[in-house]
Amino acid sequence: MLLFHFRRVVRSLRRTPVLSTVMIVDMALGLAIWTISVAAVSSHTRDPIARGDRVFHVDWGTSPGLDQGVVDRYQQVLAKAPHMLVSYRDAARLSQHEAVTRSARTFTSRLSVKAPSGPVETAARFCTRELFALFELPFRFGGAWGDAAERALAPVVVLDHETNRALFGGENSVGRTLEIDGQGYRIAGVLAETTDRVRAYDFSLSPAPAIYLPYELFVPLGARPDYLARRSLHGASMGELVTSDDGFVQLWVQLDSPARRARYEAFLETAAHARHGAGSAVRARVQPVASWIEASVPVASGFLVFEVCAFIALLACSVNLSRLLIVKFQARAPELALQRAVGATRGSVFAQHMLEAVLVALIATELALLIAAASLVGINAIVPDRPADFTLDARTVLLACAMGLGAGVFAGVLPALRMCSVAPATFLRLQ
Amino acid sequence: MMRVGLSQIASSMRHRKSAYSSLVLEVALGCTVVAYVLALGQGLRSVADLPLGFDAGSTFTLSLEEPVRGSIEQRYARELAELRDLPGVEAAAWVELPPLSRRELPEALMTGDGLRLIWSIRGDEQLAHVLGLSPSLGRELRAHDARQAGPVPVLISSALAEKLGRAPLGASLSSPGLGSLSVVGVVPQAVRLGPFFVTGATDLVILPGQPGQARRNTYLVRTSPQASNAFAREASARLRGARPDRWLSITRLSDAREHIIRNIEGADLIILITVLCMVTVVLVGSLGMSSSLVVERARQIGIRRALGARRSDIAVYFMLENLFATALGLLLATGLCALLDVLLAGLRGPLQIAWREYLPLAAALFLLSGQLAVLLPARRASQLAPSVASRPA
Repeated sequence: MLLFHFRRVVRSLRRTPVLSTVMIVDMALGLAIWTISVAAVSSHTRDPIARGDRVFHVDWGTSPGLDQGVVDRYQQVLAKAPHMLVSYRDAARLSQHEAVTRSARTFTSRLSVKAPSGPVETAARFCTRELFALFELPFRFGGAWGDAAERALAPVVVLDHETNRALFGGENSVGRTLEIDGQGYRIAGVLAETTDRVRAYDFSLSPAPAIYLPYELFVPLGARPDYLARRSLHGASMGELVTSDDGFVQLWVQLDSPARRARYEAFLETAAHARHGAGSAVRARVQPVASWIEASVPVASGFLVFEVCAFIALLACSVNLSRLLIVKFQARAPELALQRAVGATRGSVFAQHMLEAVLVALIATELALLIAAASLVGINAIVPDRPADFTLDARTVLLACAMGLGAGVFAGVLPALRMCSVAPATFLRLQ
Repeated sequence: MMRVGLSQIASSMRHRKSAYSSLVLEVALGCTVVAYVLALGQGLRSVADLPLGFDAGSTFTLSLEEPVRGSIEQRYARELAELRDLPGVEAAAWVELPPLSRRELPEALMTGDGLRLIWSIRGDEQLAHVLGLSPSLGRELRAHDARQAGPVPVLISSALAEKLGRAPLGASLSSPGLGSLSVVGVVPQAVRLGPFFVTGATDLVILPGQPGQARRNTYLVRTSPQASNAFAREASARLRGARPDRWLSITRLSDAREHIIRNIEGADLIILITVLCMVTVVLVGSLGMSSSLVVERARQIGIRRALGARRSDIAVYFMLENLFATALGLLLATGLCALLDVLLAGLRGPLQIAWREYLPLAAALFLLSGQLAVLLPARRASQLAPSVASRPA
C-alpha cells in the first residue's frame, strides 16, 4: 500500500515539475539556514570523544557567581575560565590516586622552532603522553613519545597534521628533527588530519595546537603558559612558577566506573579542604567532558540569537510549503473526488497527501544539507580567526533530517486534512 | 472605488481565511527574521566599532624570544633599552598579555553592588603611559609596586571607580582571581582591551608586574604617528641585526583589531543568505497564492469584467489584496519582534538588537517583493475575458 502511495506521489511531483521544484527549494532554504545556525553553535560545543563519560576535568571550582542580568552567558563562561586551571603542584598531586586509570596534564604556550624550511612561530601544547590516549588522538605516522622519554625530558615532539604539511609537505617526518634553541627535537609522531578542530582539552578553544611537547620540558625551555591565573606576585623564575599557586594547568583524569568516580571525588573533597581550609568557598569539581564543554566553552550570544531566528525562518518556510501544497492539492481536487467516489478512504487520502509533503521535505533536507555544507565552507574561508571550523557533524546531519521530517509533517497536515474533507459530489458533477 | 475595494478585500479574506492567514503569518515570520537578523548584524558591528580608547595605529606589540639564560633583570633592561632606541618610539613597557591578544579573560571584582565583571591588564610601571593613560586622581604605578607585600597597588578606570560606591582612592578591593587590591590611582580614559567586549568593557584594572624568567618577553610600544607606518619594518631590521638568533614578532594593534573584526564578515554572509532566503520564500509564497486565487476566481473576474470593470481595476484589486495581507503581516511582525525581544533578553545579554530601526527596511522589502510577486498573476487576471463568467464554476 505504501509503495502504491509512493508511486502516486512521485507521479504527482513529476506532473508539476515547476511547482515541485519551488516547494523543494523553498523548504531547502529554510532548512539550510537552520542547519547552518545549529552547525555554527555545535561546532563550538561538540564532544569530540566517544568515551566522554569516563574522562573528567578536575578543578577546584572557585568560579565567581556573576549577576546573570548584567552579564551574558558568554562572559560568564569567560569569567569562569581562569578558575578551571590548577597549579603545577596541585595538578601533580591530584593526578595521583588509585581510582585514576589515566591522567593528563596540559597547557598551551607559543614557541619559535627552526624547521628545514626556516624558523617558524608555532603554538605549542605541553602535555603528558597520556593526553593522546585519553582523547584518542589518531596518528598518521609514528606515535606518542615513550614513558622513558617523558621521564628523561628527551627532546621529542609530536606534530599535528597541519604543521607536518606546512613544514614537511605532509610526508612521513617521523625521525626527522625540529630545532629549538639549537637542539634537535626528534619527531616521534604525526597526528592524522581531522576536521574536528574543537577538542575538549583545548581550553583556549583555539585551532588545534601545532606541536606537542613533553609536559615537563616547559621549565628548561622557559615557555610561559598562554593562560595564567595569577594568585601570587611570585613567578619571577620558572622554578617559582612551578611552586606557586598560580593556575595554568588543565588536569584530565579517566575514571572507569561510577565507584571510581565517587572515590576520586571524596579524595578531591578532602584535598580541597586540606589545601584551602574547610571554610573556604573552594569546591572540588570533577566534570565529564560534555558538561565541561558546556561550562567552559563560550558561544557568543549572537550565535544563539541567530539560532532562534533560524528556527523562525524554518517555520516561515514550512508555512509557505503548506500553502503551496494546498494550491497543488486543490488543483487536483476533481481527480481526488473520483478516487473517493470509487472507494478511497479518508485515511488513504490523508496518507497519500502526507507522504507527498514528507517526501518533498526529505528531498529538501538533502538539498539543504548540500547548501549548508557549501555555505559553511564559504564562511570558514571568510572568517580568518574562527575559534573552530564550522562543519556538519553526524549529530547536526541527524538533527537536520529529523527537523526536515518534522517540518514536512507540520506543513502537510493542514493540506492533507483539507483534501480528506473534499466531498466527492462537489467535483463529480463538474466532470 | 477605494472603499469598495477594501470591503471586497475584507470579504474575500473572510472567505479564504486559511489562505490569507498563512500568507499573513508567513510575512510576519519572514519580516521578524529579516528585521531581527539585520539588527543583530548591526549590533555586532556597533560593538566592534566602539573606540578602544588608545591609539591602536601607533601602538605595537613586540615579542622577543631567545633561550632562557642569564639574569632576568639584565635581559629586561637590555630589551627595553633596545626598544626605546628604535626610531619614533615614544614609550615602551613590558606587558604580560597585550590588548587584542584574543586571550584576555575577564575577572570578577567585589563592589558595593556585589560581584562585577571587570577586565585587567598587567605590566610594568610604563604600561599606562604607553596606552596614553595618566591618572586624574592619585599617582602612577611604580616599579616596586610589583614586589610590594599585601594588597596589590592598582590603577582603575574612572568607569569602574564610579561603580565602587565609595571614594576610589585608597579603596581596598577584592577579586576571586586577582586577590586583594588597593587603588592608588584613577585614569579618566575609557580603554577597552578587545573589540567585542561588551559588559564592563571599560571597567579596567591595571596591575603592576615585572617580567619573569621566560623565553618570550612581550612589550607594548607606542610610536609617534609619523613613524608608525615604517616602524614595523625598521624595528624588525634593527632588532634582527642586533641579535640574529632571536625570534621576533611585531604586530600593529590596529592590524590585530582589523583581523579580529574580519570575523564579522562571516556573520554578514550568514545574515545576507538569511535575508535573501526569506525574501525569496515570501515572494514565491505570494506568487503561488495569487496564481491560485486567479484560477479559483476566474469566473468571478469574468462577471466583474462583464459588469464593466476595467482591466486595470482587476489588476489593482489583486495588488491591493496582496498589499493588505502583507500590511497585516507586518503589523503582526512588529508584535513578534517585541515578543522575541523579551524572550531573548537572557540569551543576548548586553548585545543591543535595535530591530525597530530595521523594521521599516524589512517592511519595505516585503511590500515590494509582495507586489512584484503579484504583478504577473494580477496581469493574467486582468486579461481574462468576460466570457469566462459563462463557463461553469
